[in-house]
Amino acid sequence: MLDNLFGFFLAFTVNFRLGFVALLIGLVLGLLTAVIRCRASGVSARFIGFLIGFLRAFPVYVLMFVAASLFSTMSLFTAYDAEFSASIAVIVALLAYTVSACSDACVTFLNFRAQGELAQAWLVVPNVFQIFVITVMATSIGAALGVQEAVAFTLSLAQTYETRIERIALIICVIVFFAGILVSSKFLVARTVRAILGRRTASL
Amino acid sequence: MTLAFWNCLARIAVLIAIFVSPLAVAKAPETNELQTLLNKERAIGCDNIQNTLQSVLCSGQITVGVRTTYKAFGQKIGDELVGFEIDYAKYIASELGVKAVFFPVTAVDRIRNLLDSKVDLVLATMAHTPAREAIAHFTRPHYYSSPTAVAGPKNRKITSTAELHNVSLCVPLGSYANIELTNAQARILMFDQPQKMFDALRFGACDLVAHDRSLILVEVTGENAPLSMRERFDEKFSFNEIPWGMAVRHEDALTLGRVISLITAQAHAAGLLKRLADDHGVGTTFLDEQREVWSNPECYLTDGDFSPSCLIQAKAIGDKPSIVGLFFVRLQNWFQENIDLNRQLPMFTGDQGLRIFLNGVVVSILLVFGSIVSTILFGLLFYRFSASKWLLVRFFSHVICSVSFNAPVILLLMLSYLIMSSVFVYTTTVSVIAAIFAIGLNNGAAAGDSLVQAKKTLPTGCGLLDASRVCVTQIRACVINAAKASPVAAFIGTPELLSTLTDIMSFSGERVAAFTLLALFYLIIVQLVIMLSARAAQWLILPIGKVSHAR
Repeated sequence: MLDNLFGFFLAFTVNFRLGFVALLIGLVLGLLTAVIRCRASGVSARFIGFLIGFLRAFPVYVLMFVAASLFSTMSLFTAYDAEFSASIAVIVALLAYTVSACSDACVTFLNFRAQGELAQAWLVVPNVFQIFVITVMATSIGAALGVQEAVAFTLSLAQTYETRIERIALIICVIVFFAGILVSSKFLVARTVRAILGRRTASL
Repeated sequence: MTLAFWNCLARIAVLIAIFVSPLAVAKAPETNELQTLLNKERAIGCDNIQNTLQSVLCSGQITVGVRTTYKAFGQKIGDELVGFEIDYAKYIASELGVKAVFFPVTAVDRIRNLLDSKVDLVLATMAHTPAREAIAHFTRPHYYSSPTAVAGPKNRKITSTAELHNVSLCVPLGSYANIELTNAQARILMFDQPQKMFDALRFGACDLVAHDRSLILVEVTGENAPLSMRERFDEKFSFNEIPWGMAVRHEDALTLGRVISLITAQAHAAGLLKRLADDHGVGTTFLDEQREVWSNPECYLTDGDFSPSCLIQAKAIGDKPSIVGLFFVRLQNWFQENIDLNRQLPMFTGDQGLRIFLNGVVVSILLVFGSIVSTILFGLLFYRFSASKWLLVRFFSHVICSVSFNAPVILLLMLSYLIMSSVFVYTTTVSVIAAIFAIGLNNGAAAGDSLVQAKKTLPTGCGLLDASRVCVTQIRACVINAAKASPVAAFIGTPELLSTLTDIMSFSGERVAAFTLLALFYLIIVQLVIMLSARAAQWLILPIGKVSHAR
């Protein structure tokens, strides 16, 4: 039991790692595209707007398989094991979400900052944290490519259980765990937002 | 003493005679035939090269397409290539009096490299099928044969393809044997390098692995397989025994092809192929049979040909042409000739490919539509329960809504799959319903939450319509997300487009065209949902506009 719990948390660190990398790249690209969207005009701004819209509309799950296939066709990451290239495919797929979401958050940040609304602008921090939590949860799609993250660990563990009821109970427990993390992070974000806006109201 | 000595000598002589006589009878005509053919080609000289055999003899080297990641058959270790096929290629080269030059090929590009003249001969674990025979000439006798074996954890009980439904299965890309596995509706994960496939089995990415038994023996279950593998995994069953052939271009059938055939018959009869197989730990059942066959003088006809009764026919396991196949083959050729785009369209050219592709399109559209409808229904349901007069209903509705809204959709899918399959026989319809339920629950909970929050901002007396007008953007996002999430249904074995195109790719090897089609399909579908939901949102908001205008 304890071994399984340890294994699960160890696998959950994979979700965190993948989510963190996807967010980091998403933030860099999101900020860049946000600057272009805010500052540039004409073709480049329209193109970036289209690109962000395109990324927002692309199913992450399909993109993950497309990326995995592309790596294989182009013989990328051949020096590494199958899990490594699968992990990169998950990160690439999640970029469709993190780049578009971070870009939107950064646009809001830049607009408020330009208007001198610094407290509103800094709401970007809880927003990005929220994007991070959603990204970490979304890394569970990696289970379909065999990435050994928390959901894949759970499903492997479930297969070792004899009865269906045990399997269902295990999956419900993990669902509640994931939901618990998301709900508490949302709560944390809401409190941070309230704190930031509260400080702003007090300063006025 | 002397009598015993002569007796012993006589016995040895008889034994030698028994062993050598069939070889002598068998070998003589073919060796003559081989030398006659080679001498004839050499006599033409190198000024006017007319075929690949002359080119090989004149250049002093034969370029052979070989696998480099296929343990025991063709594997690169350091800078050196080793394996059964590598040694046999060297033997062929030595019989031709030339040097063997190796060119790495994969299961997907081996025939293409032959047709593009990058190699003179393909000796690369290639099954001999009529479909391939139409493109390249396969030399016979075959040098090897292997069934497809399915292996997995020792505690897993699976005995036939009928039990593979929704089982995750690692397969090699481009193997025709995968047709049978896709028919069994296994969840396919493809690999273009066998080593990566066995890695995936080791770290649990798939439940089972299907590959030529020859490699399964070497990598997973056989005596020479790593201990960590043979302790955990065993062979479940095998199917589809198929001969492996060497291929040359059609125009070389009577020259290089003929020479290779003669060398192979001789190698079988002399037991050379069996010895090479033993050296590399490769299974020899087929080679033992073939040694017996080609040691029989009846297999050699007086005109130098082989008796048809001694030759094995190509095995028809490829896809049959579809009703629109001819058109798409022409289209492929046009693309190749005019814009040098070399892509196959197996989802249109093959009968099975077209059938499962169309099935995938229909299921995907149903799935998207169903997911959107169930998202809206779940949203309404959570909204209605949140306004219930009973505290317990409100509490449970809130808990289920929060959990469903925040849970990874993959886990909800698995839960839905486990529940549905315990109540019903798990069919395509049931898998579609299970997926619609899970995706709808996930996104509907978000929509329901938005409606409840919106209701809280409205004055008493405002109803569902007012609340939905307030949070129309959020509801629209939920509907779009439901459409975007629909391909995830492939995870529980729903045969939607991602799943079916993966199946087609697994036996055709064509990934670029398949994934382009897949990406286009979902982009169009999601864009359609975005447009239609925008229209619906406008229609929903319109009365507010009218009211504010009237005010």
